[in-house]
Amino acid sequence: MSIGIVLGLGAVGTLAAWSDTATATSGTFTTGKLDIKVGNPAVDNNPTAFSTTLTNPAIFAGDTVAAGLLVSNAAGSVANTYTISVVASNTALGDLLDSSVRTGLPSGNSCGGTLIGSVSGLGTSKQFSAQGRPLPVNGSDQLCISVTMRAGQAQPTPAATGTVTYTITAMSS
Amino acid sequence: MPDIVDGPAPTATPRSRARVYREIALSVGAFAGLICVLFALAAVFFGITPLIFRSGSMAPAIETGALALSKKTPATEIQVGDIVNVRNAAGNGITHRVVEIGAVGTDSAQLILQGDANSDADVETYIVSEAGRVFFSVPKLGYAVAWLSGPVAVFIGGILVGVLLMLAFRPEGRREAMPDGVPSAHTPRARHSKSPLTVVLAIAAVSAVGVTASNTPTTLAAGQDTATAVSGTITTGFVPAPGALGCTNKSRSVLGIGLLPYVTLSWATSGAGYTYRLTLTKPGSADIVLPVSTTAATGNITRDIENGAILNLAPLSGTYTAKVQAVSGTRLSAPSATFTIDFSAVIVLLPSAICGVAGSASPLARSAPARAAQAPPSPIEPTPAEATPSTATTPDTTTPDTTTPDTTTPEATTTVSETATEVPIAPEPTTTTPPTPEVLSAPQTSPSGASTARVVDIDGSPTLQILDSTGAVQYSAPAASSDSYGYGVNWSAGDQLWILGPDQLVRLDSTGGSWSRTLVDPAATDEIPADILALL
Repeated sequence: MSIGIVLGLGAVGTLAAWSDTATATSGTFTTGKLDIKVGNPAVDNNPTAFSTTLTNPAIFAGDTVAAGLLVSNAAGSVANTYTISVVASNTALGDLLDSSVRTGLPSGNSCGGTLIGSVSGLGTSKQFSAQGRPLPVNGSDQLCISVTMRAGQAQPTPAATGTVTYTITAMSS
Repeated sequence: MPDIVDGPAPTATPRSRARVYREIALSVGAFAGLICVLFALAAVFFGITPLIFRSGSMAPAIETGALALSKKTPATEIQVGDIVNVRNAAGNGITHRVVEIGAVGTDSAQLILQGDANSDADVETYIVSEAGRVFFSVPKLGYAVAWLSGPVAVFIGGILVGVLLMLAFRPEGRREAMPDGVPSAHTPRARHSKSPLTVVLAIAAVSAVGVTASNTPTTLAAGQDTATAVSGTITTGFVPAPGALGCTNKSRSVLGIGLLPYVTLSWATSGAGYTYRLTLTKPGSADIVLPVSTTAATGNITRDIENGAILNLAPLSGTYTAKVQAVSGTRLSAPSATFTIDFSAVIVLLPSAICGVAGSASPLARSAPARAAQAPPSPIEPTPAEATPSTATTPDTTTPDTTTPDTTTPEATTTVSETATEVPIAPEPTTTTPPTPEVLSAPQTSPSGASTARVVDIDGSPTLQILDSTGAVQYSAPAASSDSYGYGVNWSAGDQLWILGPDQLVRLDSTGGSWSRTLVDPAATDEIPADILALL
């Protein structure tokens, strides 16, 4: 009998000891809809205004083009954090280009806000910053994206042409 | 009499009913307690951890609110298709399905995970030595367990423990006497002796549930959604270089004084819409820039160069190098191949301009630095070279021969200075070449020579690559090195690539240009070729 009690308490004690090492997190359950959109009006992919602004039919070394991009979480019902990655459709072109993401709206052909991240060489897919940006429900984030042809690069012959794709990946948080 | 018969019956029934309830409560508690204790022991001894799913990216396999059990599993035993629990950089538990496993040389593996409900794999990859493999899940139970860890549940649990203690240890006599003072004849003392064990288990049940609940790590089967924004077309601008300069000697009569020699430079057009810029350079003198506004879609553009008058300058003297660039707005093309012009102002009234020699072609600014590097560094150098042979009594005739054509030496020097100072788009040869990855493990060619394996540094992570004979990458996966084997990359007969690690052995087989990865048990010696076995 008394052995039974001791055993029982022992088991509880073990459990308690085991509990000390584990992290006790009371989790919030997420059942909502995760839906990130870009542009204004918000669309899932390829806002027209972005493609018509971020373009240059004849970019020379040192030239920069910039466009605003609104990232929004109006359609989703859960908060998320998002990351941005970039890649050029043409490696020859991408290797000559750099890109940076800042906050705010572009002024002319440059971005003046706080730097979020920048990458050099868009020939292979790269992520701007390891840290995701939080986006609450109904929240939005105004970004300014710029593409620069690195100064000092020779103009390739024949000309390199392509597009640059920015992928915004949201993870529920 | 029904009244008499009924009399004792109502008093007896509540009593036995209470006993039954008490029995049920204690038995259920004991049973639950036993399960909880066993479960806790399993958790402690077998590394089994419960998980509560907080989101639904693993739906429909595992919905939000499910309770799953995971077992700690070494990375080497994890297979594609397993659902595993890992911790991400932000410190959240992530439970997703393994879609790809990077090649591993040691006891860790790089896992690429994807939620069943997600369209893409997770952005983050996880390098782990062990992970919790989910082997069992119950829908909705996670809500209950999460609630049990809340303060309300803990409070209720406390009350429950108290009630169970009361039921178990309440003195037998008082308990039986309470209903109507009639002592129960069949009150078993034996029951009392059974109670403490039952109640201990019941208490353990409540405690274990509470403890387990409060310590069940929650896991995010994180949902993922992507949006893309594509730029418009970006095209690098290009101003085509004009054709190589040609030079023609001409002369005209000047007011009957005499003939004035001048030159006509010509070059093939860059195309419609381009104007041109001629530049005359001479070391030590200011450059002379002459805009040429003539445009032509086809054919040649010409420009007369007369010393003095036409240049609207003081007469020039010496050899100048002429080059031409096409102009589009503010942009300049690469310079054409050059031509030298010898200016002379010996006869003051008739300063002359005479064609020199054509320079080597420099169609692109990019090629300029290479040419500058090959060209003689300075015109001074030939002098000591010339002095040395003369003192060494070498035949004098050869030395003057090499130095006589004065025009070649200055031409070469002007070309150098031109490319070094005048190229409008400064060339940077280092940036035009794509970065070559740092090789961490020397390339090894397969026995048949069809493939080459190497380990390179890609963005800071060692990566095993298998290249075909043309140099195209056929297989690429993260690699790890160990103290005993390094990266452990070894070819064997039949073009099998073996990756040796201290805890595991991986074989890569080629089938039509793609490579499949197989984990081989190092103990299964009959499956391993002798040459690989010798290395183990």
